[in-house]
Amino acid sequence: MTAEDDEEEQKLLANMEKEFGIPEGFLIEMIALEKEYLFQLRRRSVIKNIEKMIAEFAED
Amino acid sequence: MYLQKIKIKNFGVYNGENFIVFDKDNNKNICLIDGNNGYGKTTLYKAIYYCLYGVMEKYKERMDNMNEHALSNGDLRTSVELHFIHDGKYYQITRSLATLKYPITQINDISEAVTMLEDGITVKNIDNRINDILPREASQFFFFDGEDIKRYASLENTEATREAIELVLGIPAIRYALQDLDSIQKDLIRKRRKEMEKSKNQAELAEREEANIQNIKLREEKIEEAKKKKKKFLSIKEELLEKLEEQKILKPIVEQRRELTKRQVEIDNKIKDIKGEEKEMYEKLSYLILKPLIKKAYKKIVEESKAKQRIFDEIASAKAMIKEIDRILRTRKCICGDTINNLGEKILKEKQKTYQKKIKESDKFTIGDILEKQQKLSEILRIVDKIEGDYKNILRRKEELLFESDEISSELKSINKKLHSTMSQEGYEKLEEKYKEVDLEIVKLAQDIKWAEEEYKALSSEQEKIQNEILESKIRSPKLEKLNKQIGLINKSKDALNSYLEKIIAIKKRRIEKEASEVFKELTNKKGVFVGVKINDDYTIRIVDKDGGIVDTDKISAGEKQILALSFIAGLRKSTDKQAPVVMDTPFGRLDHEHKTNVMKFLHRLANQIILLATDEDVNEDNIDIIAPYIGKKYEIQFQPDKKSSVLMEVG
Repeated sequence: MTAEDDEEEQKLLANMEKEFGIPEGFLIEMIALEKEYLFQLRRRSVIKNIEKMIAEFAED
Repeated sequence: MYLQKIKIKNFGVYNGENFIVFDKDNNKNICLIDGNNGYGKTTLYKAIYYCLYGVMEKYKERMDNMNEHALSNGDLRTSVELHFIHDGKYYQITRSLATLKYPITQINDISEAVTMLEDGITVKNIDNRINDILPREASQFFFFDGEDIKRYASLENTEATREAIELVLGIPAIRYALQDLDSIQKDLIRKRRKEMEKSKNQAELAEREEANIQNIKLREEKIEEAKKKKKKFLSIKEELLEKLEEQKILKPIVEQRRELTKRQVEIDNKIKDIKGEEKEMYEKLSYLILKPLIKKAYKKIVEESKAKQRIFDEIASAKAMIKEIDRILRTRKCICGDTINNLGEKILKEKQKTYQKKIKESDKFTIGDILEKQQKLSEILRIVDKIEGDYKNILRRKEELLFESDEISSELKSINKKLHSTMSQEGYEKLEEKYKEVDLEIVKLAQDIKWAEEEYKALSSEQEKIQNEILESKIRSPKLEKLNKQIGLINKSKDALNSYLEKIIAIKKRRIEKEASEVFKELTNKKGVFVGVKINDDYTIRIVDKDGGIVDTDKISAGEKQILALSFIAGLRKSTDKQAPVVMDTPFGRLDHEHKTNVMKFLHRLANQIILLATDEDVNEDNIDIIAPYIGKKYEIQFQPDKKSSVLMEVG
């Protein structure tokens, strides 16, 4: 995957945030987190991190 | 992931310590490992896989990985060591098997150990780290048997293959995000309900909300399921339509064949009839042999008849002359008006006598029998002529029919060649029937989706109403407010991610399609006929021909499937952020010379690092020049019959 492809995917995600009225960076951060923990068996720690993110972004 | 070194000790057929050290020059990215069948090429491939993922559970498999010669000589340890660079870090993985006694009688006699170092520091969760670098399920697109990959060009993908493809494309991260959001949302709603249960009104709202959410969830699932089904049926419909179209194009030719076959039967019957007529004519043909004789006899009779006719005419003339002389003698006046003298009278009487003599001589003369003979012969001749005419007519008709029959046969031959792949009428009707069934199912599913969407819309609007009521309720505790905001964010995020998922899959498929098409066009030996590939919703891959039609996968050869699958892998590799070496066992499988040459020319561009496990049938002095500029290292597997084991030797 080229850098341009990666940029296109990030841009699309950012557009989704705008289109659906989601605080900037929330989806991008969440997907990055999911990718990082993709092969971790302890899903609970991912969920805890996302919960924290929701709490932070919902206040924005 | 870029391999630096592989060290294997007493693994499988390999005895003692064996090394492969890879070239660090990026322009020489092919490592060629040459070995005869049974010498240990696949064992090397298995060793790399084993070192990364282990997976040896069964006693037999573990046992197979330990070199028999080493074991029998008291060396009871087997290991594989991989050294590689990934994302700028140096890794070393060592996986080993050991036993304390030999012979081994049970699985517990063998112990397995694995260690992993990242820049010299021990990694704790080894499996997770390895899967981060290259997920086991994704490794099939990096380590493969050249011939075996043709399964990616099959008509259907297994669920496991689809999942592996999505894993390489990074799709599971989005699906996990949706699942996690769902689970967090449930938890938040439960918390909010508890908050709201503090007042009766809110408790009722909470109950309504929960029930409504359940209903929405059910509708969502129903819509999702129906959409999935519809998608599947649409894809089946498309394939059936293509087949039907193909058959439709051939239908007029089929009709022509039917007409020609019918005509041929008619002609054959006519030929049979005419042969019967010909046979009947044989009895009469003897007349034809006699025809020259009959003709000769007839000619003679005609001449005779003419001669007799002349005599007959002469008699009639003589009679007329006698009558005229009588008149002259009676009137004694000549025709010229002069009076007849005695001498004239005498001459006339003499002349009259001559005529009377002539008449007397011809008293016996009759012409009737001659005419009768002539008539009979004429009749015979007419019959013979008719027989001859009829026979010639039969021969002409027979020749015309045989010519027409030949013409039809050759036309039928050419049509049959064209229709070689045409299905029977029965098969075509079955296909049409199936198409109708599928079409009906799609209409039904579209209706189901419509109804479910209408219900979903109504429930969503009800949900909005409930949400408003909740907001309007006077409680507005800071905690409830916070929970509402969080639930709201989750709702919006789920909608956004669902939309993103759909779009990103389409984008990634387009990328694979583009790259795979480019590679396929380079590899195929039917350039100009096959112009690209198409990736279906289930990630199955099809060839597109120059007319934009989809080529039936059943009709392409094993070699074509192999290059189609290789193109797909190339496309997939370009669309993923996972980078690893390509290890190809039996790299050219069943490829013909042209395909093989095309693949060899392309090979160095397939990945940053390529390990080719080949026989001298795959790579030899006739073709090594194609890849020679890209070969960094070359190893040869040498078999030692005394140890029934192999060793690796660097050559060249």
